[in-house]
Amino acid sequence: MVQPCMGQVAFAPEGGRAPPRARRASLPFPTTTQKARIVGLSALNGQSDAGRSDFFAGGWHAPCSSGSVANLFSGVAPLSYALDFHLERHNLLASNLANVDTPRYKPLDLARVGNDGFEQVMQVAMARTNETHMSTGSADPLVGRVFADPSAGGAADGNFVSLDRESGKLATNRLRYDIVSVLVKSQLDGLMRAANDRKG
Amino acid sequence: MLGVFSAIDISASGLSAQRTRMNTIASNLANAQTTRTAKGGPYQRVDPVFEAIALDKMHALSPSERSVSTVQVTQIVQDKRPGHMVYSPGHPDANKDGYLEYPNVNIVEEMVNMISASRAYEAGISSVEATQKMANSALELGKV
Amino acid sequence: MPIGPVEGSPISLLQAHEPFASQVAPASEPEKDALTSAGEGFLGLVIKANERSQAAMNMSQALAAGQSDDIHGTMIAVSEAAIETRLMVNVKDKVLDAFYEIWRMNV
Repeated sequence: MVQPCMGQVAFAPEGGRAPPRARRASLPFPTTTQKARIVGLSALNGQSDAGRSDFFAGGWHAPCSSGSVANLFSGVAPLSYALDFHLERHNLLASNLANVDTPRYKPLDLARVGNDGFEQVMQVAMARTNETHMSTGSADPLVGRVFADPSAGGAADGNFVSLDRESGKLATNRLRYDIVSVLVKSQLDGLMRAANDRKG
Repeated sequence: MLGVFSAIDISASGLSAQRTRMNTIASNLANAQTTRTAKGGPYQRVDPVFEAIALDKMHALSPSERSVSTVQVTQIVQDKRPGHMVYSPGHPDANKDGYLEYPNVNIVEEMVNMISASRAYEAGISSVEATQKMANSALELGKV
Repeated sequence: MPIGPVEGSPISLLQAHEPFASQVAPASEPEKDALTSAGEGFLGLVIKANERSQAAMNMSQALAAGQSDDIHGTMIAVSEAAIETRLMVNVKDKVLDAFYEIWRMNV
């Protein structure tokens, strides 16, 4: 039986501050980025979105964590993060392929940022030394680390893109995206069967 | 954000640039024997200049968004190398020494360029197809 | 032995006969019985499910309007909202079944 959180429901009180990010310590990886934030969650019946600003597509991080539904989708969260990674890498590889004949172009790739190093990377990305500086916007956690990969060797015009190598990377990356997508689908299907409780 | 649509935009820019390159190669091949142009003198082969254009610096948030670029043919330059001279004194376009300057088009070089452009174009096509298939598998997630 | 009048107030007599008399005393906060706590837990579930499906609807509207490019994120959010709603409905059925079962008990 779902253990209720006595007397406390899973959003911050009106006008109160959202639960601090430190509360997400139970998940070492971030859930899907704040794409929900772009949507403008304050459109929810005009209510303050202070309590909703921590909602991510991958999971709702409730203040009470005792066996609540928030943990139901915690298995989907890292997979969703992997989907983000592969999609972003796909963009970089497509950019490499488009620039196969551009002089002085070095191909780019995306490296995974490890779980333990993630918080540090995020801190560096988010830190503002002066209040008057612009913030980094919607505080997207970094999905990966971009690096240049000139290992294929350069042509006379300084272009380092190898068409075959980039096509191979694109194919494998696309396969990985499909794999993770199927994994997410099967997890969601399993959850739906469990929620239906043998009735459908 | 970097998603399916940006990937297709990037690949499409590559396709467009390669097509422009094919057009210049076709022009070079067609005019390989043209000894007289409107400006006088033989035809000079043209080359596209590719340039990597960043997507949208204003709204780029993540390092990846700042790094990806589309490609664009920013200009088409003429190749100023002299063509090869052939001794043909009877030709109306021959110079006073009887030598006729042919265009600086090297057929073999143009064919190699054409194959390269064609391969790059096919790679762009398969990139677009890969993007479409990834989007389809993402759509599968929504079917409850 | 003659039967005399009963000593003591009815409440104290009742309390003396109650097996767990000491625990019947009212606390400063009203104690929740199993039914009320289940109801409150369920209310939390309903509210969360509603929030999640509202956010999922916003995401899908943004995707449809072209303001968002996040396909898999939106799809996952929509699926999770559907799952949680379905879960909530089934929990509602069970809670109501339990409630009616207790309601019909002959006390």
